[in-house]
Parts: sequence; C-alpha cells; structure tokens
Amino acid sequence: MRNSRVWIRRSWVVVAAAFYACGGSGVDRPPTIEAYGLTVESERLGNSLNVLNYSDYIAPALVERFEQEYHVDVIVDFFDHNDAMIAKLLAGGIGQYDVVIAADYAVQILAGRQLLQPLDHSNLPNLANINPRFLNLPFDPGNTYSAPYQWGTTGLGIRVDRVDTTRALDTWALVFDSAASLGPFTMLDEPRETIGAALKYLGHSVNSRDPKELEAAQNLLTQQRRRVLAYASATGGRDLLASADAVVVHGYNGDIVLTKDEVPDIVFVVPREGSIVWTDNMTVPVRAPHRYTAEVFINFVLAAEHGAALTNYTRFASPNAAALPHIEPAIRRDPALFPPEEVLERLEILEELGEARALYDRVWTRVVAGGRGN
Amino acid sequence: MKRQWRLAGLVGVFLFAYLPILVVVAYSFNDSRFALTWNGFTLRWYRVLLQSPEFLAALENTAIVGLTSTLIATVLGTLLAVGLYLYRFAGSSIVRALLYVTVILPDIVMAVGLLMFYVAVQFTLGRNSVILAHVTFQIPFVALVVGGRLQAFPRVLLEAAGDLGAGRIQRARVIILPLILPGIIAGAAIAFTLSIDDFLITYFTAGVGASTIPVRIYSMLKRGVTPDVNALATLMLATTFLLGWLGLKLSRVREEKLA
Amino acid sequence: MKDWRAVAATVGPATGYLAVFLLLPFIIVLLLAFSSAEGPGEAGEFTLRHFREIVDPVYLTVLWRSLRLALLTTVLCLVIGYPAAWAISNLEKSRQVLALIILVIPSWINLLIKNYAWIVILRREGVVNVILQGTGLSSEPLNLLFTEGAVLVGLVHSYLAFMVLPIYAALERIDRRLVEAGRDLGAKGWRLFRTVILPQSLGGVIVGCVFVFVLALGSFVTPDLLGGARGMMIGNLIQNQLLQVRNWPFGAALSVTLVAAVLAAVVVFVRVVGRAGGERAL
Repeated sequence: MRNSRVWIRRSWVVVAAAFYACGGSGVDRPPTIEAYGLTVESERLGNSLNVLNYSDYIAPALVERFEQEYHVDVIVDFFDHNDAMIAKLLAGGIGQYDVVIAADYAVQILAGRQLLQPLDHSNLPNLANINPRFLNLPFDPGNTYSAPYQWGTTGLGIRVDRVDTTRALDTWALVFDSAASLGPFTMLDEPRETIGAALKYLGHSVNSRDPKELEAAQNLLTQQRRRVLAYASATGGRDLLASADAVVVHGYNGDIVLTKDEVPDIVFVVPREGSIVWTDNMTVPVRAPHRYTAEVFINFVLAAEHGAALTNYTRFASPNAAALPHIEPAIRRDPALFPPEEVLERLEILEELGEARALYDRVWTRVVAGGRGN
Repeated sequence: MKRQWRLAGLVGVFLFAYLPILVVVAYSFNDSRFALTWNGFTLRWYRVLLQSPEFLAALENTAIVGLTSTLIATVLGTLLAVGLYLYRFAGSSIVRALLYVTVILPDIVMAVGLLMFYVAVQFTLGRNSVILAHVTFQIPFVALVVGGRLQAFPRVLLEAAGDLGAGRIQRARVIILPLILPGIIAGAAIAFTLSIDDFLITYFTAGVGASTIPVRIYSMLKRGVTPDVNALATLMLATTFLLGWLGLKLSRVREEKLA
Repeated sequence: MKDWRAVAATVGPATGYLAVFLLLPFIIVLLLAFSSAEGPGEAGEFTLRHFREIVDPVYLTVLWRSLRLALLTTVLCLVIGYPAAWAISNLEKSRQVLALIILVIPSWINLLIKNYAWIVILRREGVVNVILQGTGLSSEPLNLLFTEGAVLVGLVHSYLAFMVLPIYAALERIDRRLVEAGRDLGAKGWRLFRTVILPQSLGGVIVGCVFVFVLALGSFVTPDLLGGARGMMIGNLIQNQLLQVRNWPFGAALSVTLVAAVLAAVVVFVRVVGRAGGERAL
C-alpha cells in the first residue's frame, strides 16, 4: 500500500513535469489558466498560499500539482488540535493563513466570531461535485464559509484475534457495561466524543442540553473511569490497539482502518445505539493575505480526481460524489469508510452548544479530574 | 563516598537517563507505522526524513531559534545575576519575584499572553517573534543558576580586587567571569534544553513557515506519530555526540599545544 | 555599593526585557481574570466570580494531585541528582564537561518521543516486564503503565538534568582541600557532608528544587501520555480551560492563583532553607 502511494505520487510529478516541459516557458504565468472548471486570471493570483492543516492530511503530490499548475508557492503549516488552532486564531493569528482546514464545530465557532470570509461560490464551480448530503449542513447553512474536505465516523476498533467474538461487538456496552467488557479498552480524550458516546448508550442525543441526561452520562462515565485503561488521542489509542495493550478502542474510522495494513485482525464498528459523523472543511479566514488564490485552491481540491487522490492518501472518506469512481477499489468498498445507509442513519453531527457548553465542560472536568487514586 | 561506588552510581544514573533513548534509536529502524510494536528492521524512515523538506526546514528553525535565544538569554541572565548579587538596591526583591513568576507561569498562559501582546503592538509573527518569546522564559533559568553559584562566593574577594585598583570591567572579566563560568555553562545548557523542546509557546508565537521540530512533532499526534521522528531524534543525537567528541578532541589538542 | 550606573548596566537589560515581554502579557492575563468579558479584546466589568469558581472540590483535587506529584518528583530528583552532581564534580576537570554533556543530551530529545519510548518500556509486553518475568521476579506481566508511578518515572527522567546542573555548578566550586581538612579533623560520612559540603552547595540545591518542582507542577504531556489522561494535573486543567472550554477568564484566574500560590511557597522555601543553611538566600 505504501509503495503504491509513492508510485502514484511519482507518476503525477512525471506527468505534471511532462506537461510543463511541453507547455511553455514554465516560469511566466499565462494570462489566464483554464483548469478544473474555472478560468483563473493570473494577475489576481498571489505568489504564495499559506495553508493550515492537520499533519499528513493532504497528499504532497496534490500540493505540488497545484504549485505547478498555478505557479504559486504553497506553504503548509500543521496543527494537532482544533482547539489550539481556534485559540491561535482567536488570540490574533488572523491575517496569517489563507486556507484553514477546520472541523464542523470549529467552523461554527469561527464563523460565529466573524473570523471567516464568506466564500465566493462563483469561484467554486466544483462545489457541485459534493454529495448533497454533505452540503448545507447545520453548522454552515448554504456553505457560506466552508467547503467539505473529508468526512468520517466515530466508533470502536476491536482486536478480533484477542477477544471472544461470539459476543456482540457492535455496541457501546463493550466499554460501558462491565459485564459485557472484552478486555482493556481506551476512550477518546475528546469531551464531546466521549460524553457523546455515553449519551448515545443511554439513548439520548449527542447534542442534548438536558441537565438530567448529562448527569446520567456523568455517572456512567465516572463508573467507567475506574475501568478505562486511558483517555487516549485518536492515534494514541489505535497504537495501543495495534500493540494489543488495548483490545477495544474508541476512535475514528480512518485511523482504525489504517491499522489493518499491519494488523489484519482488526474491525471497526459503529455501535448500534448510534454514534457521531464528522466533517473536516476548508475555510478562508478573514484578512487572509491571498483570498482569491485560496478560493482557486479550494476549487482545485474539489475537483473529482483530486478528491480521490486525497482519500487514497489519507484513507478517510471523501464527501466528493464525483470522486468516487477514482478512489482505489479496496478503499471504496470498505464499509468502515463508506458505510451503508442503515449505519449512516444512526449517526449524528455535533453541533456547537453555545451556553449549554458549560454543562459538558463541567461533566468532562469532573470525569477526568476524578476522585482519589487512578 | 568511595570512588568505585560513586562511579558505579553515576553509571547507573546514566543508564536510567539513556534507557528511553536506546528505545528511540532502536525504534527508528522499526518497520511499522505504529509506535509500539517491533515489526522488523528497515531504513525507510531515514529515507522519508531526508526526503522531507518540512522536517529539514523545521530543523533549521529549531537550531537558529535555539542558538540565538540561548545566546541572548545567557548574556542577559548572567548580567542580571551578577548585578543582583553584587549590588544591594531597592527593588531587588521585586526583580527576584519577577524571575520566579516567569518560571512559574504556565506555558499556555505565557503563550496566549505573548500572542495577544504581539497582536496589540502589531508585531509581525515570524521566527523573531519566537526567539523573543524563548528568551523571555530562558532568562530566569540562566539568572537563577548563575546566582546559585555566585551564592557561595564571599563578596570579600571582589571588594578586595576593587581595593587593588582594578577597574570595574577588568575586574569582572578577570575575576568574576572565570569564577562563574561553570554556572554560565550550566545555565546555557538549561536554556537551550528549554528552547528546543518548547511546543506551546512556539506554536502560538510562530509565523507562517516558522515551525520548529517540536511543533511539527506535536502536530503529528492527530494522524499518528510515525518512526521518522525517531529517525530525526537519532540523527540529532548522533550529531550532538559527534560535535561533542570533536570539541573534546580539539580542546585536548589545544592543551597539548600549550603544554 | 550603590552605584546606579553599574546596577542599571547589569540588572537593567534583563529586567527591562522581562518587563516588556513578561509583565505586559501577564497584566493582560491578570485583567482578564478579573473581568466579566468572555475573551481577550472584549470589554467587561470587574468581577471576582472566576476566583470563586476555583473553590470547588474538583479543582482542589487536581491541585492536590499536582502538588503531590511535583513534590515527589522533586524529592526523587534530589536524591538521585545530588549524588550524581557530586560524582561528576569529583571527576577530572576534562571529564566533567563530558559527563555533563552526556547527562544533558537525553533532555534534548523531544518529550513526546521520549514518552512514547517509556510506553514501549513499561507496557505489559515491554522491556521491564520481559526482564521481570525472565528473571522470575514476577509470574505475570504487571500493569506499570497508566499509573501514577509511570508518570513519576517520566517526570523524574525529564527533569533530572535541571536538578543536576545547578547543584553541579555550586559543588564544583567547593575547595576539595576544605573537605580534606574536615575529614582530617575527624568528621566522617554524613557529618562531613552536612557540615562542610551541603552548606556550600545550598544555593544550587535551592535552585534545582525550585526548577524541578515548578516544571513538574506545570507539566501536562507526561501525565497525559503516561498517566492515561485519567489524572488531570493543574497544567492540563489550565490548558483545558483555555483551549477546549475556551473559558479564558477562568483559565486566567486559575493561572493567577497558581502563580500567586507557588510564588508564595517558593519564597518561603528559599528563605527557610537558606536561613537554615546559614546562607544568604537568593
């Protein structure tokens, strides 16, 4: 798998280079560039583009292709957590970046604080490639501020070679009910995800604002705390799964699926009580130095073959309907990444809660700060 | 303490200090994307690392930031310690309190506070904003270490030199400097250590493209910490040992020349 | 000696620097802690409610746990670090710097990588358990990871150099002839140490303890990774409030409280230990 990725990357560079060798002078930009459904006026393009993204979340070949196609120098900086990224932007990091990849709730927060530019849809014809179920979502009605990038689900990763597979696997009871437990397990170090899992197990919405429901969730989580191995980051947990220090981990589908490369005896399940579906999105912050170039870039990424290249590299699912035929068959057919309708129906999107947020924070602090001992 | 016991104990401490380092080096050859289980020997992570321009750029930033900030902080901190020790003046306890406050202040608070400050004075974020931020938390460490050493010297020594007519600056250079040199070196070592492992403050005060190694590594938490960071750490380790060994060889050659 | 030019030349630059780059940001944070505004750059009125929120058993649990671990780390670092510093200071001059470099280098490896290495070492099938089982010291793998013990190991390892370096800097200066003289006069072992060596190294000991205590208190990566994030420490809490909860005023209030409390403790410690050792405290 890794080898094929390198092969794809190298073949693209060769193609692009050949294109340019035949194409012309190379350094000078032509006055207009027609590509990916958009006619771009070169003089409006900046010389560079600053992108803020998760680490290893965009295929380097894609970036190179954009650089060669539009003669723009792309700098990609990384962040590890939406919250750190939001804090930096809030404290005044605006004016640095042109494109920021942000999770759904982050888009809602940033837009709410007027930190995002409304997107000029006339520069984004490829937005039409996106599967309609990923457009016009509650966190950004009309896609005023964001365009979908990748999406995924949260669930449980299980080492089927180390557990009793005759028992039910597709339930949150594995982590919440000591009688149903299969062995050491970890939960996500993410308040909304872990509290959300508890709420789902109890039959409530992940966006519940009812103090009683949250109290029930808190009690459940406090009991669980004594048995949980660790509250791990998404990749920390899957590392523990790969090493069998934990046999059940709470995590994201893409991360768990990637583990199967080296440890085939792993399955990803979305519990029957329901779970969370999330999207990462491309946004343009207010006072971005190269706004037009940013939108050209977004449109570029939304092209069918690029959406596929993204998924083939990151192993997370693409919201780009036109990209589906170009995605590697093994990935396309994986039900963990592209779940059937019946699974999608029991998934909820996280919403920003505004004032009710304080309830969740209190629950989380109490659970993690904990009582005596470990 | 008998000499053999002392040495044995020291070796024991070194073993403890290097146990995880050995694991880091060993796992840089691990043929697995995942950090915890051994899956065979490979050199591929070194290949990935050396083909990665972002890592090399981050390495450059880390080195420049680390060395520059350490230099500035060592000078400022040493001067401060000498001044605090030699002279009694009104407000010296406030200065001391300031040093402690800087050391105590949590990283995240300093990070966010500095960013808000930079924005308020409209200072463009870049690499310099990081260097200035690092100097801020390094100064107290240098000053306190040098001060801890100055602590034990009787002032009488310096006052005596003053009586002999030596000028103030000459006195400083000839008398004080050699006495506190081990303290300065220790302080500089601490300052450098703090700088090259700093994540939060750097993350918040860095401009585009000014990321350092720690920022790059912590950002990998989202998608997985792969063994190429182990390869990076191993290379840095090897380079440091090499430089240290060269430095020792050079100083020995110099000693022999002087003899 | 009250020569203002000399004072200004030495103390001035660093103090001026800190006044700008530390005080100003800290004042911004301080104002926020007392403000009813939601975040930076917003106007608000004076209020004490954030500080009142701190007096809550949950936060006090976090504080207590952090203090406990930081103290333990400091003591362990002292117990291991002081003898190490002494041993180094007794080596040949040329070997001393080498030994120091060798000791410091592990601190230059990124904390995250080191903690992952500790996970490899401490896991159920890791190095330690393999050795314990191989030598028959234990019959089944022990759960060493994701415990407070694991966090302690990680913290002591991270901050040992911060204890050794200042103590070495103080010990190096001690005239070995004084030690010899003491021994000749009949003082041995512990008594020799207590009356001759320790007092002269006290400055370094104080500095080392303050460094390790404060750094351990504010640590968040090691408790997270090696403790399984189940034992929140004050560093995690403040970060959590500022980043995840985005309750900046509360995070600011927590920080101000922490700084004030630790500052008071440190000043007391320095005065008491300094005075007990007969030294002028730094």
